[in-house]
Amino acid sequence: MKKSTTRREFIKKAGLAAAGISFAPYILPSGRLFAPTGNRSSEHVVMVAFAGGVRQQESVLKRYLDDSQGEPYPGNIMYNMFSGAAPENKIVYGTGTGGLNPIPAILSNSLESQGTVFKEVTALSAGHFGGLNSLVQGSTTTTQGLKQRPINPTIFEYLRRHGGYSATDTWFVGNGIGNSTPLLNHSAHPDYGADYAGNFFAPTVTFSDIGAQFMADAKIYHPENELAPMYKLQTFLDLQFQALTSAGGSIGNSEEEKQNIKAFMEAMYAKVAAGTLDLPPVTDNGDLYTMAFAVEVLKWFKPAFMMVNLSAVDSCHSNFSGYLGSLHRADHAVGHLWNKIQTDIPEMSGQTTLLCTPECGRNLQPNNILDQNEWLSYDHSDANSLRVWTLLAGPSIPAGLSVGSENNPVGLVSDTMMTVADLLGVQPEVQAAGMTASGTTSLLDQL
Amino acid sequence: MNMLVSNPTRTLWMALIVLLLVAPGCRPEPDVSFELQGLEVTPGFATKDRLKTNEQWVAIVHTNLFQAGMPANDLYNAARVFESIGDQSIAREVLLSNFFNQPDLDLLTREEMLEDLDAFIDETYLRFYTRFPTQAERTFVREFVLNNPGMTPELVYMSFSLSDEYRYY
Repeated sequence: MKKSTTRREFIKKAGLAAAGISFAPYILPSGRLFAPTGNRSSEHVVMVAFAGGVRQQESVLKRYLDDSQGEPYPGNIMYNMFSGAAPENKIVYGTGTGGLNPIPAILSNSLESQGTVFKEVTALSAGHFGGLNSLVQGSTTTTQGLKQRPINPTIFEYLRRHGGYSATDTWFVGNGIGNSTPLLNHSAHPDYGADYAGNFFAPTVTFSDIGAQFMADAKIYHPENELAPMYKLQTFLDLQFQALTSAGGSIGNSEEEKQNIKAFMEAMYAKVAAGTLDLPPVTDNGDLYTMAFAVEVLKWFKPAFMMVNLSAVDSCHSNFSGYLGSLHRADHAVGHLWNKIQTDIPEMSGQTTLLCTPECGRNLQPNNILDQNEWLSYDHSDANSLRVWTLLAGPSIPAGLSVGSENNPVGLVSDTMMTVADLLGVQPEVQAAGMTASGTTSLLDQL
Repeated sequence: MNMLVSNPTRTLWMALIVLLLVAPGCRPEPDVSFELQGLEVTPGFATKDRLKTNEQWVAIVHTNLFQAGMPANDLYNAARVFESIGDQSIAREVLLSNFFNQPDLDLLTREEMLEDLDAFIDETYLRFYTRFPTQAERTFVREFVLNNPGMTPELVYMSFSLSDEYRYY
């Protein structure tokens, strides 16, 4: 009798447990209840915000001086990214005095030949901050000014809240701390915000001499004997004080992730001091250093998503020759990035999708500023500033495909963010949230 | 009229009356404690509702630890480095551990702290929170320090520096 009752209880409990497994929502570490409804088609995604206001004419259209200074010298100065012959004359974008020596290509096959280029994409803003916001939020930013967090959720928050990605699974590597760049790793949206932020470094500041002055000599504490009781006492102190806001700058890294980030910082300071940072072959501007650290972030964390922001081409406001050199170097940086992913990071090789999109274009007509070669400079404010392109490469991206043309725009800048969401499996949630710009669609749906 | 002014007896009496009236008011206040301990009044945490900027936090923590201000240029640079790190709680922790590695930082040993633990706790609350601990806080911290042999003054200071209350003023 007793045995029979026990058996019945067992069956009842087993049935309840099975029902629970079938119907109860999964509570994931991120705090969300359900798994994402989209299909993840890429293990890793890297987005490059390229690279501070780029004219179509000198980039995807490969016209060099032919469509800017009235000199008949076309050519491709971005041969890691685009296919096509380099200019034959008037070389100013390389290294050495006058920039006479072009930087050799890193990739044997251009990314254009390995992937797909949307050749005429419409930007949502003619400015850097607005453009970067449209890349991270997938929306226009008409009511948002500098020194403000994005109003709508960023891709980092969508991924973390709906995809269950951890904080160290999402990274934003910025070109610096100007132009409110550090504010772009999360929005001020009440349903998202800091708890779902991406991690951020502006490595040219963090790991610079001044960064080292304050951060490089960190004491190492024993995690159990020292740090654990220290955090316990801190928790007690925090419980006594009802903080008015959660604006403590914490972004939801777990304690384990925090220790990992601190270990990464320590390793970076050591590498910088020892001169062993994995630099691109040529490293003579800030973008190239930024990319070197971005590669180090990839090597260390192997994140699901990383966004890198390059910006040196903005010198075009007053120095067209400098702009050409920076454009050439931004291409070199992307070549280094892709090469390292494929050759030095086995966990990401063959499993990573790359997207490159300028946050904004640049004017059709020059301003009056002449540079050392007496070439005119370009600002960004007219309709030509809303003309950009997007390059994609990766395992699920068609190779050698070209979409759209100069007279046939296809795609929006905000599509880049939706494509990331698509690749990492949260597109349905992003669409359901309804906070992207009208018409924003994954580029994969436009192939 | 002249008679009134020149009357010495009357003047003497008037002076005596004035003296009698004023004299008790000059007596020192008696020290009556009614068997209660004296209490210094400091602002409580209820009044702390303004978040410190990174620059303010760095400046104050430097002063609290080193008992000396940080040079303005260093302060500016430290705030820039803070901005370059997304997780500010990590930035605070790493900066503090750098401070604690400085040879010119003079801290008590655990043994010295235990010699008069209550005084240390009061001094720490005053130093970091500009207030005295409540009795419950004092008791908890005392027991916590006694029961955790690894808790040095350095780690106690770190807990206080990283706490929420310390981010407000």
